[in-house]
Amino acid sequence: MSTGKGTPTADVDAEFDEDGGLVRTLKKLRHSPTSLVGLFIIAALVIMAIFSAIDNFIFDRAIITWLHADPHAMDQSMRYEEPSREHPMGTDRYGRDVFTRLIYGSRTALTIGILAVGISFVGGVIIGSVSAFFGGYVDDLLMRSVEILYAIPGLVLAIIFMAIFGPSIYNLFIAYGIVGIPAYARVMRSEVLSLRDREYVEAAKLAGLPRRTILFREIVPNGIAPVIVQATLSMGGVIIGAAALSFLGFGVQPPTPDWGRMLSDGRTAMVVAWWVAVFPGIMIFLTVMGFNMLGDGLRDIMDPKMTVEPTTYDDWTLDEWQTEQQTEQPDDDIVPGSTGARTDGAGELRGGRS
Amino acid sequence: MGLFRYTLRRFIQLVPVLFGIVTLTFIMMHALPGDPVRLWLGEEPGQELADELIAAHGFDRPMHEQYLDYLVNLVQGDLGQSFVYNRPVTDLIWERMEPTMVIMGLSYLIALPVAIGLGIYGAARHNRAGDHVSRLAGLAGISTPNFWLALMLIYLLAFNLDVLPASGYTSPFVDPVGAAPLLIMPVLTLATAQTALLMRMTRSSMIEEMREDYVETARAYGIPERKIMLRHSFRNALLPLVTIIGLQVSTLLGGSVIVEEIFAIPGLGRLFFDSVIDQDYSVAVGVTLFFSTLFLIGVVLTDIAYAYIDPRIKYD
Repeated sequence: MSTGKGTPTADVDAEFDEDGGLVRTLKKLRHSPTSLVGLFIIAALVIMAIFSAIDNFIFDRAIITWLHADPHAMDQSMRYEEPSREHPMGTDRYGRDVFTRLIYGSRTALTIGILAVGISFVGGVIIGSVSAFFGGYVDDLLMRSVEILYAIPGLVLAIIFMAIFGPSIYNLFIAYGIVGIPAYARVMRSEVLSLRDREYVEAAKLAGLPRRTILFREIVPNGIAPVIVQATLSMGGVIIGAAALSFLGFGVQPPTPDWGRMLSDGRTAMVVAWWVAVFPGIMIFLTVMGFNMLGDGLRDIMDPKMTVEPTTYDDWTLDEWQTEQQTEQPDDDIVPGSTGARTDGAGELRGGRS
Repeated sequence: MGLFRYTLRRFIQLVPVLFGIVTLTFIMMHALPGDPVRLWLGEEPGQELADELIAAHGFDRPMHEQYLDYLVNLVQGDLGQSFVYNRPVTDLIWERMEPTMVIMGLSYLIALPVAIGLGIYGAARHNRAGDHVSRLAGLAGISTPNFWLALMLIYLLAFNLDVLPASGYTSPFVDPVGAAPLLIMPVLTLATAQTALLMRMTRSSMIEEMREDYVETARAYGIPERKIMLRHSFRNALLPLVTIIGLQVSTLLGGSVIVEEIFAIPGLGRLFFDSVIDQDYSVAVGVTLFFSTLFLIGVVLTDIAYAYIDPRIKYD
């Protein structure tokens, strides 16, 4: 059997939940200028990160040195140089060029973001879907465990984790990966709960498919869209969180260029050298903004609640109708940091546990 | 009757979760590498002194005994003894609570009205210039790293303009005039992201409400748009807002760790941060537990608040 595609679903969800729908919804992004800007920022960062990775591991920083300066080269005679033609963003405590270090920092930020979100995504999807599908004590056990993780503030949990396993970039994304699991698990769980009694699941059961296949081949692909939105939206929060940990001294260790680390170095020197603290912060801001803008647009387009809503003319005035045609649907704010709050929170609170 | 029993049940449901949190943090803190006693004593003092300390705090006993002891004490409201401060953890938490609560409280106090105002404005101007501007500002607000914002505020207001002190804390209950300038920057730091988040929330739930049938009916009756929004839609839009306020307690507590570190505020976040650095187990576990409890209570209270706000919700 195919992965949900072509299964007998005569309902509206199929339109945007299936793969074909995914591509179609992605095409709708072109109507949203904010998501396009976001996409552009992310693309620029990805190019920077890939360039830094290739340059660092294959050419040993030769290209960037040839182009501008070596991000690792220290020069004590050049400490805290003001921004100039030679160093457009100045130099830091060791006379290293801030501009090239910022470019190299994109690699760390994106790696941590993508891997952490990947861990949360996979973990959350498995826990959430298994929990909802099997129900009963499995559900109780898994959801209580998730609740335990959820109740401890993310930053606090990540600090404890980093203190145990030691500060390094690997532990950083594992820490944030684990911290993020509850939000994904809750979103996935509510999706699977709403899908598990559909006709096509019934059909798959009658066809004698094993339960694992039904869950991961039939149900999960149909409920994955909100989790993807969740991933885009939480990416920003993860990048800020990882930078915060580096800032507090628990994260990426020198000499690897990292924005959070650069900020914490710049903190002590802010009075004499503002540029060391200002530019890394702007980079973090731009990155997070990029992901949030894209996530915002994606969510507007994919939000099933808005799409399912029947659209009748008498609901709208003509003026509204025209603007509505080209621009977004109202958003249902799921925001990084509190990711998934709305969906799970409200559902849970309104008597999910009665 | 229903509400009381519901409340009771919700609080009872917290117990296993809290038990899990205690267990998790206890295991994690004891998994910390290094020797806290040595860390605290330094290299100089002899082994006898170290052994004495270890024995006094029971660090030499088997882990499960320490854990059971901890649980027994916890039930009696005793979170153990800090060996860095040599005082009960509950005393420390009690003492350090004020700054954290003051800063969090003030942040909410500023964030809520601003967010609700801007959110309603955005919804009223849906898809027009004002809405787009406030929407972008909201996105920017949640995208700004709070530690960077704090540094920039210090750089601008304390170093360059020299209008505010860079760090420190005075209790506003003792010296309100002296405390105010010290509080401005930490509160602004925490409030920015909160405002942005709550504003987005208000806006989207208002827009959703304005699509409901009752709004159309109200319009048909000729009730002015402004009155529909403020009198009818806003009340309904409050529900998701209340949820998010409860859930945000967790984010604010996490943020307090950073803000208190940067502004040298002797609050709970700072206490936690220092205790992890010093490997002061009982304090770290105690504060984590306290944070989680606050959050869970916040969620339950939100739940109960629903019953008052929304009469449709039945609890049984």
